[in-house]
Amino acid sequence: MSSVLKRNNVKVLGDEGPVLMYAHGFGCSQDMWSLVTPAFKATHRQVLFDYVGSGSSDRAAFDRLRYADLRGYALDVVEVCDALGLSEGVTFVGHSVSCSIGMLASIERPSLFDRLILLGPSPCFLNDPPGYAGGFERDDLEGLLALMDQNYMGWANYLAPVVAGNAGAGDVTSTLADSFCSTDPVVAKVFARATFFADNRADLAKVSRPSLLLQHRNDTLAPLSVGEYLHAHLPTSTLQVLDVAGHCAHMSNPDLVVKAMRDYLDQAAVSA
Amino acid sequence: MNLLDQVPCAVVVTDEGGHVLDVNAALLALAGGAREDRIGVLLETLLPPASRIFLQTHIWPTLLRDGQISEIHLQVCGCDRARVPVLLNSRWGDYNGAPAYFWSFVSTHERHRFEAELIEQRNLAETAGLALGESQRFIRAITDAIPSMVAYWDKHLRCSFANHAYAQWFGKQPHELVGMSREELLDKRLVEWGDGYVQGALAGHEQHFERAVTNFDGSPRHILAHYVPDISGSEVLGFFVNVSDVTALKTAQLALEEAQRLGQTGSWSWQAEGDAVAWSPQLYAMLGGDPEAPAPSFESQSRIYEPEDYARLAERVNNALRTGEDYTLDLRYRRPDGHPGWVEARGEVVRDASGHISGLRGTLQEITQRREQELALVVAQGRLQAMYETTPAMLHSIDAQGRLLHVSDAWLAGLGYRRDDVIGRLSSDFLTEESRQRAKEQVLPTFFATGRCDAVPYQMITARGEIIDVLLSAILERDTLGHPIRSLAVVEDVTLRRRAERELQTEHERLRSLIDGTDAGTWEWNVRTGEVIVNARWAEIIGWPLEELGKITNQYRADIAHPDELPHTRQLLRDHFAGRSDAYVSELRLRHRDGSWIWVEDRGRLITRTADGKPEWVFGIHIDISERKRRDDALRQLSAELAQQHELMRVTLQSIGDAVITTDADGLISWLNPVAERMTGWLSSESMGRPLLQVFHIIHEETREPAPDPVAACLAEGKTVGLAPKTLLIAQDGTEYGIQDSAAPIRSPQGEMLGVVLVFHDVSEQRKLSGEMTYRATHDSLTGLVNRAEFESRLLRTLHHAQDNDSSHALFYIDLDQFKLVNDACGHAIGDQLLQQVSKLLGDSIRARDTLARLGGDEFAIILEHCTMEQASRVAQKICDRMNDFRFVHGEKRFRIGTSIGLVPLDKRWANVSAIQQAADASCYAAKEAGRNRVHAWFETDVIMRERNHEMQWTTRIQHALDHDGFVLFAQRIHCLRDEAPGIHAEVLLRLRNDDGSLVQPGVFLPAAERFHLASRIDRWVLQHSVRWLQSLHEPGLIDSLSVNLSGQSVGDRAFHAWALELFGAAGATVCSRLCIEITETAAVTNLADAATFIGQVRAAGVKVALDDFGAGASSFGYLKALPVDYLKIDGQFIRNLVSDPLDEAAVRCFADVARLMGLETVAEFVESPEVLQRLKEMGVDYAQGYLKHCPEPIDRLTGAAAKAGATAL
Repeated sequence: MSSVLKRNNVKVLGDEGPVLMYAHGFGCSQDMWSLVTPAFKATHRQVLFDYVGSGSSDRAAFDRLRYADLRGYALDVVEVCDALGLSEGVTFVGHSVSCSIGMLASIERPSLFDRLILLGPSPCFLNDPPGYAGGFERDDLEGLLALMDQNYMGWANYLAPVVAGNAGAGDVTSTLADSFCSTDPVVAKVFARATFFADNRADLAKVSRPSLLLQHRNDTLAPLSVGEYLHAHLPTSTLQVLDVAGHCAHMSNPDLVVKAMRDYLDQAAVSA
Repeated sequence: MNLLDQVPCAVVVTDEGGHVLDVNAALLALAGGAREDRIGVLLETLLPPASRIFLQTHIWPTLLRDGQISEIHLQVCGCDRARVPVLLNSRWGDYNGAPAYFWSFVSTHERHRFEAELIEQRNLAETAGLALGESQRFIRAITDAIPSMVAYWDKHLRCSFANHAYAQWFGKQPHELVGMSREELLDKRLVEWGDGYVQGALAGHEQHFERAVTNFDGSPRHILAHYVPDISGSEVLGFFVNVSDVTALKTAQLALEEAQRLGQTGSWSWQAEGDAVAWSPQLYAMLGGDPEAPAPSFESQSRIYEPEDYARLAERVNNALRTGEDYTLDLRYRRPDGHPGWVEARGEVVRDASGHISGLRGTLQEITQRREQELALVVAQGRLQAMYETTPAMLHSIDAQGRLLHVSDAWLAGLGYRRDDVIGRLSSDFLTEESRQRAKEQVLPTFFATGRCDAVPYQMITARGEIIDVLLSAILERDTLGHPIRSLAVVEDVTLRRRAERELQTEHERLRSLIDGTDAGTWEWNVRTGEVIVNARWAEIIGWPLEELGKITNQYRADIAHPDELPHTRQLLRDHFAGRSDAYVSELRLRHRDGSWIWVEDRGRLITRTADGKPEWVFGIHIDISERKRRDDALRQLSAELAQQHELMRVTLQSIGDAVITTDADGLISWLNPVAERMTGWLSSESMGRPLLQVFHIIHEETREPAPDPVAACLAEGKTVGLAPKTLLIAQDGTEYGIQDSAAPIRSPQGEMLGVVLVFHDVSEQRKLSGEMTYRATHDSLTGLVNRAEFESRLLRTLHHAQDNDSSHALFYIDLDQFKLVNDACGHAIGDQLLQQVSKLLGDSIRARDTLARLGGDEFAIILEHCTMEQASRVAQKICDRMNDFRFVHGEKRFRIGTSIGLVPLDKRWANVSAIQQAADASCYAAKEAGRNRVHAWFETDVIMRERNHEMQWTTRIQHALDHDGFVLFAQRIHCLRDEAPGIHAEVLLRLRNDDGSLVQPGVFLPAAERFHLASRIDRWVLQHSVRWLQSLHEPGLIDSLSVNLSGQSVGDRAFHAWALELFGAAGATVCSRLCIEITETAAVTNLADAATFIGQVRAAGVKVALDDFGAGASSFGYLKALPVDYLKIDGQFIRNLVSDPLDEAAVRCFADVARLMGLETVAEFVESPEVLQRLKEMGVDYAQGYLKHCPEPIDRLTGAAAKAGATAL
């Protein structure tokens, strides 16, 4: 098996039909899509993967520099497609930060994607008055990192740099805490910084593929105003608001997500 | 009473979407606000932003996956906006019959108090006589929401309550446990093991213990148990059991210890009060000491560290106690083995429940090795930098922005800069503009793609402004994302080398061009060895290919030299070697390969001498001078002959009536006869040796530009040339003669050109007559202006000029507004006067070189050459104004004559003159329409643009149709009017299929196809598909003749001919015999020669040919002789009204008669009525085609219908 397929714990469901590629959000893993994928089993070839450092990916492949920037994660997306021999026709389905990652990947390799389905996207979590309200201040996000420290490691967070810097200690670290879907504290912190300090607003205009924006009606992480901002700045985007509270409609209300996806894909098929 | 309020911790119940369904009093005490405000909102409104994100990114996904989460650190917004740290538990449960999540928040400071209060609460509930069942059910709901196992054992050691977690541990349902004894639940060993703790609890003492156990499913677990006696009054009623499964924690602890061992890291905690220190096992290993003994106090740790370092540590510790600030610092310490070492010490404060700092905790990591490595690295880097800077090579490194990071001393020395001047500047600042350009366009793109470049030639600028040549090689470093970080370059100064190379190169090229220019052979002779190196030309001169001649020696040269010149040549060489001559130059003969002697001029020079002064290398050239020698001989011979003939010739020429001038081979005058003397005004003697044109001054009659020199032309072409027409000779006294003549070469008997004889005579008189004729033919007799015919020819000339040279001119059409009025009122004679006056007025308004024409009646036109639309507009307006002011006076009457002027730019946009004339006409009309007496300037209107775009779009569609078979073949049957009933005759027609499936008629797209030269490609498509269709027929015999139209483009295209013939060849005789090619009469006549050839070839292949649209063009039966066709298709315009129009009838009868005479069959198109059909039959026309008999339909239906018809007939 290709090293990339192993590295990103790539799973392919079905071997016929157009390709749906699912990308999980920060703090999650590919398991989060388990309530959505059964609906497309008969019609699509579905690709699931974990970003390096998340889920059951190969943690040894984690590179702080590469993954300190969302472009590093976008490279994961492109490399996974390359490893699967996909060169076109992919519909990218991303949750949360993966929406930005998917957009970056589509800018990097526009020919690869037909369209993007973006669930709970936000191009920038930080407020940038007066024109943009991402929802959070820098201090809030620093607070999040502190919380992660506490919850992943307790006082042991002090050891994180030491342990991570020590080859062979990776296994040890991974057993430290398993209370969350996202488990590796070092990875999580790097990922969190990449996610919450990113500002991809300038990239929106470069996205050439059509997209479906699925926004949660009541989502403090990615409020409706952010969805409208995206809709206004993303060429050929369609905005649909799901009547869902929270940020994880694919887990809490999978039926709504499946229907929205299905409608969008059917329509795309007709207009194509 | 709200039972939820009885719970001593903050509780929130939400639905699955996180909307709050209920909260309790403790939550309101914690978070503030009224209960109503809290219901219905989202749970996250209780949380500050960071916790909100954590909730969304971590807690919800986990909760949705696992159904529960436990002991999560989070913050809640307190009443006074404070952020209260809490521990959160949540679990999926049932609320009023609907699924819900129970969230409990316990302030971290109150973690333990909560458990005690839970017990107290339970007691209160009992004493208050609350219905036990209800309280139990409720308390279970809460206790179920916490993950630890809670149970209540009464003093008889029977279980009277167990929460979900507790029951699950034993693999049972809570209600199953109630009433069970310990013996029933646990195995004997465990019962005995736990007896001590149970008895202790029953004696009224809290019990804490930790143990490893195996749970019901056999997995090893680690638990922490807490027995709390339930004391009512002084009696122990039973005890609470609170067991936490700390397996994960224990595993984490072990993992940490392992990590600490691996990372050589130990952790510690310190209670400031009492200076109590606790060390992790690894710390003992690192710092020494007995792991069983207590760790040394902070004060006594001073002996572990270097005094100075301990002082630093103490300062930071005190600072931490005071300010709460963390610290990290490196400290030197003494290792247990006595050696000095380094540790990295980190510390952070620990606060008690009240928030006061009670001590510190932190880690120590052994970093001696790391420090050593870092130190070594610093030393190595320093050394590297020193090396880098002092290396004798010119090095520099630059960052991703192209700025210099480092340069070597040699670099600075080479370019003359100081280090401070260059660091941080762009490396490209030091390149010349040309190098910078090349770097940007060529070198850098490759460099970034490949990561290196080798020996790239650049020019750099030194501090003194000098330019030096360098070769630059560089490698690129990238980061993990592949972005360039830095590049390192080695620069080699090759200025001196380059300069020498360049000079040598220049010298070499100078020499070579010198030699090439003389067509010389070269030789290089090594006097010492006798070896001679020659070039191909040298060998060629004596008739050898260089490769056959091989290596030659000086002896060989002597061998082939003519003995007559050899001694002299040798003497010349000796003189040169002795320094008596600057160069050696000799003329000598060499034997040619064919045995003849070749004269060469041999030139050479001694280039090098050996160390002892002897001649070494001599370089030289050979020039073939045989031709020159021969010519010299010939001239000598000729002059002798000429001398004899000259006298005779002179006498002859002097006596003839034409003027004669002779020149030599260089075009210089040698003689004039008396007539020439008279006409030029020059005496023969004074003109001798002068260039011809000085004496024979000729110009063009109209342009007055110098006329071409006939003698020069004659010399150049080597044959007789006539003088350009309309040439004027201007004599020395200014008299002009129209002349006509010719110049002929004078040749020697060997055919060599010796000179030219120019003969001319005066045609002034003759020309005056013909000029008059021409003038009349081109001018209007009334006004003397240019007439329409001449105007059109000038317009065409101007258009060609515009098209060829992209020049701009202007055209006016001028109409007099009131001419008719004058004509009617005063008669034609007076009208003519008006026209004459107007003509003069118009002529005065324009330049002499412009063309003013009268097109007829009161219409005039002007061509303004070389002028812009702005200038033209001004002129037009001036004319308009003058005409407006002008009054035509006749007797008492005064007439005001206005003009309407149409103005059109005359430039290369126009395809032909008729388009321009149309535009001018339309503009003039527009000026009239707009109210007369004004100028209307023409603009390229949207309509025209649209039409052009429209055609362009069609080309795209046609191309697409050609590439994707977007055409459809139709066919129309042709009916035989004679009695015999042969197979089907039909003509293939073409349709273009639209995207929606509808079809487009060829009349819509063929014009565009012809205009953009696609017609021939369409023909290929149609012909190929028609042949294929014929081949595909199951019954080929059904079709007797299938006609395919060819465009004029194809008829004139030889490539098409070849292609078509190949197609016919491949199709075979059967198919060919059923195929007929239709060529329009116009196309055939336009390309008559090609058409005739093609028709012959086509017919030879067995394919028939029809001449289409016969009668439509300027046709002549004469062409039919040149075009051997099989059918004549009479143009539909003659057929349509055949019955009613006698002219048409006569024409068709005539066509039919001629065709019969020539053995051709005739086809009538557009047959739309039975009467016409009948008449055609009577006239003897052979076939009819038209809607009357058959409307075009898809080609496949032809055979379908025929097959049906055939079946019916049978």
